[in-house]
Amino acid sequence: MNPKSKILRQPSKQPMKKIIIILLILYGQDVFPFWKVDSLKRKPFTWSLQTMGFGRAMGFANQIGSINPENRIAKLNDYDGGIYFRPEFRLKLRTLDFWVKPRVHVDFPQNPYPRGQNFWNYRGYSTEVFFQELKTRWQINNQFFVQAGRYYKQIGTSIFINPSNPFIVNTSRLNPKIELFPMDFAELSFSSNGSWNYTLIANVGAAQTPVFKEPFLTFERKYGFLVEHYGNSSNEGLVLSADEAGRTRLGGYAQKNVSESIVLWTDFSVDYRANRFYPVQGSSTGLLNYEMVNGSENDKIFVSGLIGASYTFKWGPTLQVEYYHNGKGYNQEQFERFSTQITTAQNYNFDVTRDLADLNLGRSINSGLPFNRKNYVFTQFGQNDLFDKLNVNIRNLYSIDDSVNQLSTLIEYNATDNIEIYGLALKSTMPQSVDFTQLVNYQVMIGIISKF
Amino acid sequence: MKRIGLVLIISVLSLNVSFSQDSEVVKALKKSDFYRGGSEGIEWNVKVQNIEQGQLKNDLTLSVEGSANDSHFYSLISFVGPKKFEGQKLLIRDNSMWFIKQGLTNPVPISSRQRLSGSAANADVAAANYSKDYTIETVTNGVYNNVNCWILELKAKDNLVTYPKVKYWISKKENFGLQAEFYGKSDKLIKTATFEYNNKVEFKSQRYDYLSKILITDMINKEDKTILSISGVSFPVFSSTKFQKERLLD
Repeated sequence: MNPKSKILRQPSKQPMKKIIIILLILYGQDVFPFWKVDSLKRKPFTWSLQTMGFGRAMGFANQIGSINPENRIAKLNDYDGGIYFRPEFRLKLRTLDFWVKPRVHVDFPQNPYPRGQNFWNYRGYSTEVFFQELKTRWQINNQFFVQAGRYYKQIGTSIFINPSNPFIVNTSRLNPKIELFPMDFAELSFSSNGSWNYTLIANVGAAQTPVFKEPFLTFERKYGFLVEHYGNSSNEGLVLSADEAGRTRLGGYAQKNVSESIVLWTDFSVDYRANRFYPVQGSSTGLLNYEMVNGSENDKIFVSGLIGASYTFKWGPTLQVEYYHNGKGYNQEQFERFSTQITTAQNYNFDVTRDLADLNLGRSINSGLPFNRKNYVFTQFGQNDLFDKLNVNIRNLYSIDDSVNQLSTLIEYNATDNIEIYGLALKSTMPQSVDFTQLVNYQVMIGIISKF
Repeated sequence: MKRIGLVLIISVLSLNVSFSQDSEVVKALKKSDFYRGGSEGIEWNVKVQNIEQGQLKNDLTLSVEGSANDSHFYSLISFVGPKKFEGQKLLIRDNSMWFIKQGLTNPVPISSRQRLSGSAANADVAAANYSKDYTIETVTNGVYNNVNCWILELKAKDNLVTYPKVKYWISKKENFGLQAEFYGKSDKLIKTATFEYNNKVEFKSQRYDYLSKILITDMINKEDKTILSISGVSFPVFSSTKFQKERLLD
C-alpha cells in the first residue's frame, strides 16, 4: 500500500463537473443512443471507456508505536470513495501504433459529508489526471520494432510477483481494481523467427512511482537486454540489466505446460547491489538510535526466486500455488532492528527528531521491497464465467517467517453486458510482533464498473 | 453365398486404406487444415453462440489472428463482445497458452483444460491443427451426406492437446473436413462437430470455398450446442513479433 498525497480542492461552484460525471456514467449504460463502433469491422481508430465508482473501508496500522502512528505517514482513509474514468484510445496505422490511456481519478476522502451538507453541495474532493499509458510502436519490418512511451513493462511468468522484472519494483498488488504505476521506457526488439526474441530496453523515467519520489529511493536510469525463447510447450527468458549507479542484475523465468491440466513455472533474479532501504543502528545526524539507509549492506549479491504450479480441476476452477524466496528481504537481525526502529520512533517528540523519525517510518513503508521478509507462499483459487456471470477469486498470502496471513476474495458479477458489480474483501492476521510487515489490516471495497 | 458376398463387400469397404506419410490422405489432412484456418497468416471473426438445453446462453464475438504450418501453430484470440468480456485475450503458441483480462497485470500461463473452462471453450475446435498435433492411426472409406470421404482416426502426439483421439471425415474431392468426433481419455465420445464451407476467399490468386460455420454438439448433454460463425477472413502477413506474450497487453 503506497501512500499517495492528494490535493484537496475547494472550488467555488462546479455543478457542471458533477453533471458531466453522471452523464458519462449513464453513457456507459447505453441510456443514450450514441453512435457505436461496429466491432466486426477492423478500424484504424478504436476507443473504449470504463467508469468505476467505488466505496471502500479500510483498517490499518495507526497506533502510536506502529509504522504509521496517528496515520501521519501513510495518510490513509478509514472510509473513502472514488469515481475513476479510464478511457482508452488506439490508433493503428500500417506500421505505427499509438495507445493513449488517460486517467481521471475523482477521490472522495474520509468524512465526505460534513454535518448539514450532502453530496450535491459538498465540494471537498481531489482530482488527479495522469496517463496510465502513452505509447507508440513502429514496426520497422517483419523482425524489428521500436516502442517507447509510458507504460507498464511486463517481464516474467509468475502470478504473485515477478523477481525477474528489473524495472518495476512492486509487480504484485493488494487490490486488482487499482492499476499499477507505469514507468517510461524505450525498446528495440528483434525476433529472428518468432521463437527467439531479443530486446534492448531502457527505463528512462520513474513517472509517478511513489518509491522513487523524495525522500525515498533515487531513480537511476536502467538498461536491460532480454532474450526470450518460446518452445512447443515452454517459454524461457533471461534479462541482464544495469543501472547508472552500477547495480547489475540477472533475471530469468521459465514455464512449461506439462499436461493438459498442469503448468509449472519459475521466476528468479540475482542482484549485485540492491536499491532498498534497510535499518541500521545509529544515524548520520546522531539524533536517532536507528535509521533506514540505502548503504553498504546493499553492496553484495542477493538471490531471489519463485517456483509455481497451477492445476485446473475437471469441474472448472484453477488452483495456483507459488513459493517465493525474497533474497532482499530482511534477515532476523535486520528485522529486529527494523521492529525496534518502528516501536521507538514514538520516543522522538521534538520537531526535528520527530520529522527524522517520521522520515524513517516513511522509508519503512517505501523501502523498495515489495515484501520485507524472506519466505512467502501465495495461493490462488478461482474460476471465471460461473453461470456466465460470475468471476470468483480467492487469494492467500502467507509469510512463513512471521506466520502472517493475508486472505482476500474478489467477486465480480456481470449484471449486464455493460455493468459489472464487484466486491473485494481482504483481511490480514497481525500478531503484535509483526505489526509492521503489512500496513493494511483489512479492506472492504464495493464498486460498479460501466463499460462502453 | 449371397450373405458371404455382402460381408466381403462390407469388409472391403471398411478395410483400412494403407498410407504413407506423403500419401494422398496426409496431403488431404493438411489441406483440410488450411480450409479451417491453417495458414501462415490468417485473420477472421468468430461469432460464438452457446446454446444450453435449447436456450441461447451467450453470444460472443472473437477476433482471431493466427499462423500455422508444419512446425508451429500460433493464435491470438481477442474478445470483441459483449462488453463484459472486453479486454480478455488468449494467446496460444503450440501447446503453451496465456490469458489476460482487465485487472491482471501480467499474462497468466494456463493449461489447455483451463482454456476450455471459459466461455470460448469450443473455439479451439475451429482452430485445431490436426496435421501437426495428431498422427493418423487408421483410414477407412466412408460416406458423409452423400459425399465420399476418408474417415481418419487421429491420435494425439502428446498429452498436451485437449482430445487424445479424433475421428475425422474428409471429403475426397475438395478435402474439406466435414465432420469430427472428439474423444476423451477413456475413449468416451465428448463432442461432435460438423463444418460448412460457404465463405469465398482468395488466397495466392486462387479462389477457394472456405470455412463458414461449425456446429458443435456436446455428447454428454446433447441439448448443449455451440455454433461458430466465421466471417471476415483475410490472409495478412504477420511480423515475427506478433505472437508474443507482450502483445496481450496491447
